[in-house]
Amino acid sequence: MINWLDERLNMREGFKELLDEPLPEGVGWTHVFGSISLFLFLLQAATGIFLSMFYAPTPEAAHLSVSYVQNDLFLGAFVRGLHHWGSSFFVVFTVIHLLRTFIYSAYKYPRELTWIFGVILFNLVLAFGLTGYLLPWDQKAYWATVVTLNIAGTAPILGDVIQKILQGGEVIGSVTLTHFYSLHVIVLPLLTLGAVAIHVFLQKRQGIAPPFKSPDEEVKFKSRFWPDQLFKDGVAILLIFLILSGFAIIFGAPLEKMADPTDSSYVPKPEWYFLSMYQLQKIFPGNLEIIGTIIIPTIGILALILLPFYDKNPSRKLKDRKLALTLMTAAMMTVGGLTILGATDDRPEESTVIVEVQEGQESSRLQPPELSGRYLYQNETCMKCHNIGGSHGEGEYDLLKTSGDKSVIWLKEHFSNPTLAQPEKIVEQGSLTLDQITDLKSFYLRLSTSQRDELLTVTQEVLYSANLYSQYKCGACHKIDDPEPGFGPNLAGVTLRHDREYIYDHFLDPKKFDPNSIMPKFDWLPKEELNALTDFVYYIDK
Amino acid sequence: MNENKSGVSRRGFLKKVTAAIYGLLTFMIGLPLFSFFVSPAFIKSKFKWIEIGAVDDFNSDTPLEVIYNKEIIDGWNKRTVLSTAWVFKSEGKLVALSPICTHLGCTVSFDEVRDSFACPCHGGLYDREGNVIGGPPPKPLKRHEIKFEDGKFLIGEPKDRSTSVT
Repeated sequence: MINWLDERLNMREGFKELLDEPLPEGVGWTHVFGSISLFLFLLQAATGIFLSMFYAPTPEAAHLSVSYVQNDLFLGAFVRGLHHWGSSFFVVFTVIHLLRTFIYSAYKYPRELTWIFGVILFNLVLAFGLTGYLLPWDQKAYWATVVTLNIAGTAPILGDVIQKILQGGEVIGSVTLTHFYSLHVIVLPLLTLGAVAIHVFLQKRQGIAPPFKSPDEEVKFKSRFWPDQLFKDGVAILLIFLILSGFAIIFGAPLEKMADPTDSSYVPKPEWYFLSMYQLQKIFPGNLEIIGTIIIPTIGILALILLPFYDKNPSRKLKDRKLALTLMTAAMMTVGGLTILGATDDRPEESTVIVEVQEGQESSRLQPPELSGRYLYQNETCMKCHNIGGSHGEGEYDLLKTSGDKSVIWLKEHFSNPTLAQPEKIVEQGSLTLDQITDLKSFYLRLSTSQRDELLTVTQEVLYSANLYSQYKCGACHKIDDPEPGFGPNLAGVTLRHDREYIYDHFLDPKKFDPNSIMPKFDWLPKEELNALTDFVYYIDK
Repeated sequence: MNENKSGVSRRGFLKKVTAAIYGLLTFMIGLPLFSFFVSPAFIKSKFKWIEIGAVDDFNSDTPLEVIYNKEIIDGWNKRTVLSTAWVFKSEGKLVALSPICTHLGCTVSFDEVRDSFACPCHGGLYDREGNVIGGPPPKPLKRHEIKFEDGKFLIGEPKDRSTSVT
């Protein structure tokens, strides 16, 4: 058969030459990581092909079909486990391969192209991970993708369009899933195959870089690719496969409950290899978020790709490359540190703290932020989606049903960007101030206490004036029940100390009553607002 | 020192071991993947008796098309589909014929004028008892197992009839 083919194709000599490739002295066990990465790619392809035979990329069926593979099919859990852990192993071994190449200076002239394609392949591996874990359509899949797509949305100018193209419309749903599925099983594999072919071709064409030898040094060739290196590769691959199988059998692939866009108690965390990026997002607040989402990752990738061009040091010996090695170590430690921070940073604990605070609030009177929060609830767009026990608001989501089980962090994120929690609904992007967000949060938390009814029966006048009280930041200086001294006098009992006229006039010029007062003049307020604030002082002191 | 000779045999041995390692890997990966892939072919659905009506409803000698709900497991879907059986009295006994043509699985229907079951696909023809009287079908129509409980008529799995009854 082989002879029959060779008579026609005459390729035997070519293959022989490839296999007989002489290897420089020093190449051996440290050079198995490229082969391991290639093996993992093939393993992912094989397990992926078979998994795709039992997968339906629709929001209704995806989770069912994955659970069918996991629970009903013979060895289904094992095959899923291999594919799941295979992706982690893939990331680990491409990174080790990249670091080995870096330490051995193999990216330097003439192998710059091999390096560039290697970095491209590393990014493709990450893209596989990103598109792959939406597919089970469980909670983690869904919420991690919500975050990913919103990260894409932070890109300058075209961010919003890119996000909508990726998710295939206004919402994350059916089209997003088919887009990610096609990317994961067709587009990325084709790109990866092409890049692998070029990467391997370049390596075969140029040979392995002689370890730690400068280009002008004499190189001894001691072993050959076949069988010497292939033996070592094979042993290493076998070992890795056994460990990977262990992971697949012992830990298996997780499958959380089906994605629930209305579940707001879920705290999404990405796969471990994205935890450094995840942690990075937390460092940069508000309008600086683009630094963490786009700028730093882009700089990181460019720094890797362009490495052979700015690292002009021709030496391949470790002792001549102290700066390069130090910088790489620092970079790795930064990524590692962020990963560890991301892994250990637990948000849910904060929500248990809130519950205690709520219980403490039970006995006290209604606070201005809570009242102001209710005013905002009525006058911002909350009622489009929410109602309170069916009586306040026309939306379908009853706040009483969920009150108390949301963390403060979740609430804040929801108020500043409602779409994040409810991606299937188009909600106007919130433009609330921090104070307003705090008020809404206080209002929501009070809903879960026994004073709910009191809060819901307060008159509109009180709500209006409470909102003014909050808007002009009266509460920043004046406390009511809190025994801690504020910057201004405690308002409890103020109506016993002063009459209405005094309180009203005090707004106009505080210094007239107390020369040491640091309270600003509010004489620029319209009369009705001053009256409302005076009424409110009486209300809270009743 | 016969370095040459032992060198060659050592090299030959290494080649064999290496080939064996890759062979083993292929086997260790291929076998589970293959068994995973073919496993649904061996999942057998549980057999259930299905009630299709009261015994007294079926008195006709002419085949009557009975439509009933059947639960099927379709991969990750559990669905209820409509199925049919042809029920009639043959020599005083109730018979439930499966309408699945034994040729290539199309659905036959009863033609009262010609008093026979006709398959729309390739012209298979059966008499009212389900015996082949024309066309390509190799076997007579299957008959459901039947039983009666408290006046109810239940049908079970369709079974082959090895010989034609005429």
